[in-house]
Amino acid sequence: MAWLLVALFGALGAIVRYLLDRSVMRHLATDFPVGTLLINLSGSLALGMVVGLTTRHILPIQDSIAIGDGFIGAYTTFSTLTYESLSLASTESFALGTANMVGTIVAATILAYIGIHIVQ
Amino acid sequence: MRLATRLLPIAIGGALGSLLRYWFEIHLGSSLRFPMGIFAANIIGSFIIGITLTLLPLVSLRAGPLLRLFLATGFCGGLTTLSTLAVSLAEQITRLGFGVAGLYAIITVSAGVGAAILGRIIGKLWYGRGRVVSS
Repeated sequence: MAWLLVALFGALGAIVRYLLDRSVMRHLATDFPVGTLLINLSGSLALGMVVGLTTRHILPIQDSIAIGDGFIGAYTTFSTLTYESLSLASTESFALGTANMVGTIVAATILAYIGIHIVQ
Repeated sequence: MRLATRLLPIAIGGALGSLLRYWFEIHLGSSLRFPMGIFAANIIGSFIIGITLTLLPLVSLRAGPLLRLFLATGFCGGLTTLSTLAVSLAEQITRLGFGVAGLYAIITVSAGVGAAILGRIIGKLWYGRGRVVSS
């Protein structure tokens, strides 16, 4: 049952990521991957909240697997972040690529921490 | 390409990638000190996206866009995750200190970037060999 939830919600998370990234990048005339940044930061805050709520037994484990492992897991992406950072490093500047990679992870960790603790 | 045509490969790839990530989490473990499942998912996904995005634009103009949506956006996107990494790092900092979190972050970033670069190199070599053979 958990497998089905992960697959179903994972498919949904990937679709939402694609649509959101596309609309963000369409409206902003920039080469900087703002879409992926926004997705990864919002997803990290959201997963922090899911983990916090699960720890407090407010969110049932089944829902946590569907939303956390399925939807948010597929919604956020490490591979695209890595690839876009590499592209930035080679086309723009090494500093910008590094800043995107490190900056995203640091900011995402802070947001995940906030997410865990605002629901407790 | 119609939107519905693009969403289908993303959904299938996303479902398969998520399932593999979930399998990794269960079978490779998710200990707080070094969450191996998520680490493996992130590194393998970065490697595959490196090959895919380097090779596809060169190889196939016709099947390229759909394969890209299936493999890169769907499968690799579903397999890899930044949110779980961020939550792991936040919990490592809280319970085990900055040292443990810093080490996990550095190993993940170096291995991820290394895997993506390796994927790009292999993608280019692969394409080069294919051209030599076909000509």
